[in-house]
Amino acid sequence: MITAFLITWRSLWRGKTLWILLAAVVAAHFLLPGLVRSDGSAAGRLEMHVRVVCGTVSALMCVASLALACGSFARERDAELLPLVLVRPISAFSVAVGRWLALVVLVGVMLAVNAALVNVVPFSSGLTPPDCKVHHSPSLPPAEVAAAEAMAAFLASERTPEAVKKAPRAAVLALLTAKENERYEVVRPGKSISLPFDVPAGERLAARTRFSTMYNTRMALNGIFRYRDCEGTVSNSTQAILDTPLVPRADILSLTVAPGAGDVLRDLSLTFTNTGRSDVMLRPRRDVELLAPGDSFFANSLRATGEMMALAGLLAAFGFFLSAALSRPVALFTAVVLLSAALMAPDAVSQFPDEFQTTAGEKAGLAISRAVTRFTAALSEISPVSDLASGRAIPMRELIGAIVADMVAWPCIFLGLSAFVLRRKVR
Amino acid sequence: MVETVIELKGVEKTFRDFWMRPLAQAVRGLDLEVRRGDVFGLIGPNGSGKSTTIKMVLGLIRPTRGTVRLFGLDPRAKAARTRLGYLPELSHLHPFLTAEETVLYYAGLSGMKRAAARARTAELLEELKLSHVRRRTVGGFSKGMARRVAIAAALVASPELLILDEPTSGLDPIGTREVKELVGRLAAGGMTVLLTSHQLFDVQDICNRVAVVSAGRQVGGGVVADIVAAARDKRHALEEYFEERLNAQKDEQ
Repeated sequence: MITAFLITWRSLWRGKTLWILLAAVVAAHFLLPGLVRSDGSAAGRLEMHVRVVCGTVSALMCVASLALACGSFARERDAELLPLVLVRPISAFSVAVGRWLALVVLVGVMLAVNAALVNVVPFSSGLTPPDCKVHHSPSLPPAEVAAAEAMAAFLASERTPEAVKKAPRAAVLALLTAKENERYEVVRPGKSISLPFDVPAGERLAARTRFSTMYNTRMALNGIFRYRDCEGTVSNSTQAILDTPLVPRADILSLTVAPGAGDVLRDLSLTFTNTGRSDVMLRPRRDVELLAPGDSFFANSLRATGEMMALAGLLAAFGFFLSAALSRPVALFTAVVLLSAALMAPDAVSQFPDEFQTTAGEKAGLAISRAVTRFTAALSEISPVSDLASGRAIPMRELIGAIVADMVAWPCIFLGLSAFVLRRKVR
Repeated sequence: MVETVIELKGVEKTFRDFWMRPLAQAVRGLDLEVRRGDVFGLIGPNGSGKSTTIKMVLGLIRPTRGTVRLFGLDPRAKAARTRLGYLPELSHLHPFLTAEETVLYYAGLSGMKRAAARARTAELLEELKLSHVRRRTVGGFSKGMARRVAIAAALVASPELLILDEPTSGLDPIGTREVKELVGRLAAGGMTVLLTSHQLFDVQDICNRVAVVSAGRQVGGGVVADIVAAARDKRHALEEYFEERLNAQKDEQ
């Protein structure tokens, strides 16, 4: 395994791949920010820097690891070098793991350089690195449960047409789940909405409201958020995402009561009271979050780096499998097609959720998109660059999950398959 | 009793297409036995199934029918592969590695310890007259030099069995003579060698036993000394025997 690792590393080193990638990472930090305009604020500048630069570096690493892996075994097979390896008393799996590790280390080095630069370059002009926030969503029952209840009521109702009752249950359930996720509630002027949260007391919290421009649900937002003994006032008509700091009510009155003094209050609902003159429309599952203080930008950037590395590691393992099974151009083409499908499928599913209104061809496309989405769901759940840019603290369990799945479980499967296929492709 | 190093019994190999339809029958009922200390020549015209036979011996492909045993083991067994050295027909090497790194790489793949691998590599590079270029990348080597590096890589783990596919292919007369001398030295040291070659003159010089294969079948073979003794032209004895066996097979058909 070490031998396979060393030879791959030497080829990357002497083939100048390492230096080209390193130059690209450094150039991204110093050139890209000058090409992209932010809203002018310090936070906006930082967000743009992180989103554009780290997004570019992350994409570059994913593409590089996939492309290098796709060329690995295929090129050696073309050069008839594989038999020389396979006749040695070393398992093909060890060879595959050694090569994969070399690529993972290469990506790791590049991402470490990226993490170092992202902690230095944007802050070199005196800007203080902001702390990240832990995002809490309302503790509502899963959308599937709510959808199942709605479906039961739907089927029990006499008003539901018989033809609709005979529709495929899985399809109806998927439809209702999608609807439940997008369900919104209208808050009339002077009225309130309560959403359950389970966030520890005593923290300096902020309520985040997000408004999807797709629905164009408001012109202005005016109101008061209350959670436990804290409250915050919001009055805004321009921003799509609003963070409202929640301050202990006692502080507002006397500024003498310590944080957490309101622990005695056990109301675990975030209440929003609409004090404006127009309706406010909120999607409970999408538009409201509570933000609690997280740790430093540096720590978050390390976790984001770990997730990016896991993603690149998974793609590299998949690339090795393709490389073992196919010729280099076919492996690259297949990788690009599958990667595109994985990126587009979630959008296809969310844009065309109603399969009752589509043709047979579209239904087939939707079924494929659903299958791809389900298969790549774990990948879609992690978005390290977006999290780092928006200041969302990446949970440790999310990072560990990504490492276990993308750096251990899936690579073992793909590299095992690579070893299996390699022996069968010798002619 | 002399140990059998390679044993093929009723071996057949049929290549198939994606739909498992037969494409070509490369080997048809081949029986072969190579004993310890033999320098065994597998000779035959192009497309006779020599390379397929060697790949089956190496465990790279499996026979469709029959059995292949290496040191009494399955050729894919780690214990069998540990005792094996292989030189392919063309010296494909990683162009970005130096001569020394190339040999060390294959030593590593053979599971050798670092110190032992270094000592053995230095010894082989010296023996094959490559010491002065050991730090040069093999991408810039001539065919002959690359061949010698490949031979060093095949020998680095001190194998008991050396399989050489066209060992003198692409070499000039001096290089050919050196390889023949090397094989002679290895055989004298007790190493078993299986080789294929179209250079029948070389095979006659190096080997003690041969098998002639044609269209996947063994059509002749025996002890080289006996073949030479029975031949009219002693210098071209194997060539004469080879032609006679192929003509005999054509007549049978």
